[in-house]
Amino acid sequence: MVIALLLAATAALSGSYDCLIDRQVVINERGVQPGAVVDLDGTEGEAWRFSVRLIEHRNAATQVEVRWPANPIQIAGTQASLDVGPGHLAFLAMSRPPCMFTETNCMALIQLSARADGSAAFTIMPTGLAGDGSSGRTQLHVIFTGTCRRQDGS
Amino acid sequence: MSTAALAIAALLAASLPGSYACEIAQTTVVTENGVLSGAPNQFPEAHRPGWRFGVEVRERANATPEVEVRWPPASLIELGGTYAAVVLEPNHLVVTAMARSCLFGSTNCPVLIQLAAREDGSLGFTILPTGLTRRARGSSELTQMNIIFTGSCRRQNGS
Repeated sequence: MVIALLLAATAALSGSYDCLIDRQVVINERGVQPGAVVDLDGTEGEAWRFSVRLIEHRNAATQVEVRWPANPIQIAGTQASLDVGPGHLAFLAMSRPPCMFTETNCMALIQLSARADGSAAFTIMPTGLAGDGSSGRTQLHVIFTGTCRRQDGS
Repeated sequence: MSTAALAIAALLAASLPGSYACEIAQTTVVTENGVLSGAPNQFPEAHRPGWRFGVEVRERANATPEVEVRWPPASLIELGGTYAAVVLEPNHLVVTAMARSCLFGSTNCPVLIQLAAREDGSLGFTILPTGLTRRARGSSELTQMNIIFTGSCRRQNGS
């Protein structure tokens, strides 16, 4: 019982995290495209890193602040979140152009999940299109998954 | 037909408003470790009727387009409802839906549905749901599992 309570207590989202994209999955109208990747500004370091801060409110939804200086996929900002399960949140990020994957508006659904070791996992699911005006556009989604490490003292 | 006439015909064909019959063609399971290899990406034929749904896209004066999703009530993901759309670019929309039955989440189930007009008058769609599953059999710990659905919508006669 005590162990179960301790596990439940650790698998909660709170404080601040440093996050890094580990994997990409490219999906078009025909399904997964193995081996396809998106280059985030040609760098493998800072452009892939962002941080997240949970802002908790009494009697209101937890807000999620995404700090991403490079902001290559336009999800930086502070958004209200929804619980999707114990220790699991989802939120929508919307932005005006320029957008990496669309033109007029950008939108992504982001899921953040506490792990028992105090870290968090994330999935970023942006809307997306590929092609040009002459050949027509088709849907193309780059799903990003990765890990967030809790910042010291948070 | 002239180039201009062809361009106009293509623009008209790639217009979104109307009613459509949709069917999921592919699924992709994405976990914290990437694509779940070995997961089936198509449904058995016998299950197909449960993965069909209807969509109506309506233009509105001085407002964003509206998308009505008609999903069979007995299906596994109940996304039925009418939603205001965000225009990603001309003839490409996205709506945020809330599934009534949380197949892939335990408390709330937000889902993005993206619709894209094709030049032949049909639509492509992607359903991007949030999702959770047990980390291991018998475990109470939940981990992320997102099942991405893609497919096509055929314009219904007269719409």
